[in-house]
Formats: sequence, structure tokens, C-alpha cells
Amino acid sequence: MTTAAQERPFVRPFALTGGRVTTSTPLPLEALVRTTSTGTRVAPAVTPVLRALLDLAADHVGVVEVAARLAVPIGVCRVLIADLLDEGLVVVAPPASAIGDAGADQVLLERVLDGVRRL
Amino acid sequence: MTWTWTISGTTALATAVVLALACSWAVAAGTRRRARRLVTAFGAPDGEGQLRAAAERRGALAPVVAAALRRLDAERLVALHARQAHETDVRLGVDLSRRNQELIEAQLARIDELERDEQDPDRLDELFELDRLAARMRRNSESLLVLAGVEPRRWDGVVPVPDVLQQAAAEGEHLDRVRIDVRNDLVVTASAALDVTHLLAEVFDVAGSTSPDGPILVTARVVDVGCVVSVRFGGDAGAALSDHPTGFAVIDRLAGRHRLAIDVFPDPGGTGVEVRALLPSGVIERRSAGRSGFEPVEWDRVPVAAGAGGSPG
Repeated sequence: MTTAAQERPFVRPFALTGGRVTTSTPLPLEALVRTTSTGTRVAPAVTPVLRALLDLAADHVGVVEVAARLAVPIGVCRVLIADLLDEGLVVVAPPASAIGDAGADQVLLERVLDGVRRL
Repeated sequence: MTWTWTISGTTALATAVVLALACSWAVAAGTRRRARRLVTAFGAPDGEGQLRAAAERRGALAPVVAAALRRLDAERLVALHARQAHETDVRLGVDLSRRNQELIEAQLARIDELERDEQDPDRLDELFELDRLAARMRRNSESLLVLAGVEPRRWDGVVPVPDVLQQAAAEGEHLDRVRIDVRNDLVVTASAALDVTHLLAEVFDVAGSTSPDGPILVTARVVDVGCVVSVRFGGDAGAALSDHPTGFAVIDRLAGRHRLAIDVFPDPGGTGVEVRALLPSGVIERRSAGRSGFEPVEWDRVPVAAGAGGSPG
């Protein structure tokens, strides 16, 4: 981390999705993502960013947190998760089904913060 | 007249002057012989010394030799000035490219900020367009630096081979046509990561313009001396080489810097072209199974010449 450029990931965000910005499935920000057993099995064979995502989602984790941890834009993160969802490598649960999960509170707070910013 | 092949163009010109003047002026056979000896002396290692000595001596040929030597000196002075001017131009070019780079990095940082929280797909799409253009501008600017013999940027830390390929595709003009089928645990060393990415982006551009449509297929396999990245596309191998002098000049410089071997030939699998880039073992490492980081690769016993395809590392 010696140069300004180094603060960014090596791969430009648009390259991670091949330039795609839309998802086949709507994916709310407060949704929680979890890697399936198939996802865990294939993780070593996918690209580095998807592998990191599958590792991260071993426990329920929010979309916003995934984006922050992987240092990718929210929009890119959504596309990556939707791709994994289509392949059956992750499942997505609405936050209500995971009340009490540590991830849910953070997602909810992020959502509230987002709303406040828009006021 | 084998000596003509052993002397430089400048000296050849001076020789011609001596020869022409000697032939027209020297009447005596002895003088002609001396002239012939002097001309031959140009090809000798100490030829110029002999000629300078001859110019000092009295005789029919002395003024002729002295005139030729003066002309030689003048040519050298002109060449020296031209070289100095060229070096100044290169320094200015490098300076301007560096300034361009700083601006583009600032631009990318701003684009990053805008992209980070953008939730509207249409606006994100527009930002991606700007991002792609900036990434290509950065590569152009860095190509200038590469051709000037300067290292454009530094990167700390190793980079997985699939990430290098993905970023190379991103920096090229034909991202949507590049199909990367590479799954391995290899990483490119920090000192080579940016250059290898740049080189592959140039290869992808050559591929995209040689084959106006159709996919650009990328595979990789581990061999006994490193990792071979194979890029296949439609079109003619000869045209790929001859139509992209700038691209291949950059590829050549970058390959030389890291001892990569680049081969371009007709695709053995059918119609089309294959470009193979051998990343030698000094440029790549394999991720270790443990947490300690990386370890040298235990190379598969597959010779480079075993052909394309096969299993990735």
C-alpha cells in the first residue's frame, strides 16, 4: 500500500462483471447472502473475487458489507451475487428470516443511514 | 569487395569520397595503389588512425584524405546533435506522459468514489464507460513510457493470474469478446504484474482488430519452465504481426523486461491465430496451501512444445 493507486483493487470494477450492471433477480440491499454447500465445494475453481465472496458468505452477510469487504461498488456486488444465485452457489434471504443474526443489524443500520442521507 | 560490408554507412560515404577523388586525381599508378591501400584501411580496426596519419603526410593524396576526414568529423557532429535532440525529446515525452498518468489516476480515483455507492444501473453504466476510457488512456500513456524505456507504475503484492487476465481484458478495446477460461492458483510476482497485464492487453487488442468479430479465447497451462497463456482468435497470423507495429513494439519491450517468450503462429486447431506468452518461473509463483503465503511452483513435467490446451495448473 505504498502508492495511491494501490488503494484500489487490481481489477477495475467494470471488468469484474464484464461491464454488466443489471441483475436478473432484484436484490435488495438489506438481503442476506449465504454460500450453499455447492458454493463451498466449487469455491477453489472460481475467479479470485468470487472465491472471496463465497468465503465471506459462509455465514449470513449483507450485500453492503460484502461490497465494503471486497472493495467493490454496490452495483457490481449485486451483479456478482445475482450470478452466484443463478448458479445455485449462494442463497439470499430477506433480513426478517435472520433476525438476531449479527449481520442483520448492520445491514438495517446501513439502510437507515442511507435513508437519512437522502433527506 | 568484402570490406564494404564491414564498415559503417558513415565511413562508407567517406570511403566513396576518397575513392572518387583518388580515381580522378591520381594519375600515377603508385598513387592509385596508395589510394587503394587507404580505402582498404577504412575496414581495418585502426583504419581511421591510418588515414589520419596519411593526412598528416605530404603527398598527392593528403589533401583528399584530410577533406574526407573533415567530412566524417562533420557528420559525427551532426549525428551527436541529433542524438542529443532525440534524448531531449524522449525526456519531454516521458515528462508529459508522467503528468498524464497523474491526471488519469486522479480521474480514476474520482470515478471510484462515484461508482462506490451508485445504485442506479443506468448511471453505473455511464460511469463504467468513463472508467473504461480512462483505463485505456492510462495504458496508452504507459505505452509511451515503456517505449522510452521507463517503468510506468509499481504494484506491491502478487496478483492472481486470473485477475491479471481479467484486468488485461478490461484495459483492451474488446472486453466483451474476451473469454477467459483459466482457473489456477498461480500468481504473478509484484514486479511483473503490471507489465504482464499491459502486455496481454496489447495482445488482446491485436486479437480484436485482426479478427473483427468472434471470440478471443484465453487459456493457460503449466509447463516445465513456467505458465503458457494462449490467446486464440480468427484471422491471419501474418496480418496480425504486420498490421500492429506499435502494439508489437510495446509487447517486445515488456517481454524483454521480464524474459517472457511471445510466439505468434497460425492456430493449429483450425483457421485463425494463436499467440502464446510463456511466463517464466521467475515471474510466477503458486499459492501455498498453508497460510504462510506463496511458494515456488513445483512445475509440471510438461515441455513447452507439447501443444496447446491441456489442464490448467
